[in-house]
Amino acid sequence: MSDQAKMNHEAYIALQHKLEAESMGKIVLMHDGEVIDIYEDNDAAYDDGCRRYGLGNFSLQVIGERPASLGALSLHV
Amino acid sequence: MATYSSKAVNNQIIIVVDVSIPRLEAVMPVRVKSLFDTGAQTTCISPKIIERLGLQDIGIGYFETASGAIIETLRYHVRLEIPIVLDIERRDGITQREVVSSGKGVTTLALTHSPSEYDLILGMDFISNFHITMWNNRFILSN
Repeated sequence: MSDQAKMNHEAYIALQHKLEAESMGKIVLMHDGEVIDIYEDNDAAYDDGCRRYGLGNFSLQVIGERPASLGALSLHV
Repeated sequence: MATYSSKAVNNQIIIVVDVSIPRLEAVMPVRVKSLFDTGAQTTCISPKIIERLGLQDIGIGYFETASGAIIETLRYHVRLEIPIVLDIERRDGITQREVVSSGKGVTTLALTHSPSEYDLILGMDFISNFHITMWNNRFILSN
């Protein structure tokens, strides 16, 4: 796991309730443990993250996203 | 309308998909076998393809297993294209074969292992963008 992923995830957890109250379902762009911007669209968030910081140097998180179910494959993960 | 058609084998629909890294056109797409899985909420990618493409993660995500356990994994943004072969009849009557593709950007979760029969699980986040018909052991996809 990259340092960015870890740092940004910890920051997201700390801000989760506030973000969920204000922007549920939107995409948050994070860098160095800070919220940079919030987007309606995943592709737009990814493009902006790549443009600003380069791939691998930012995180995207769907605000309020719950763990994914893989249906029958959930038995094997 | 571009249409992809194939047969279900062993009651599974496995199709070919080109996986690429958005905004990194210098990296050639990788063609992988992909399982259509309407029970999966999210598209998932095998560690083998992550390594082959040199993908960089865009953060942390989670699976929920059948027992209710939560598994932490990494998330990757990729572009998925389904290559569709079309036979187009020209005005002079000659049939010309063209390959078009239909796809979109999608955020995937990394699988914890590399399945032997496929390298991608196409979940409902991707599948729901298409019109799908299943009939008489055939699978027809169009957009």
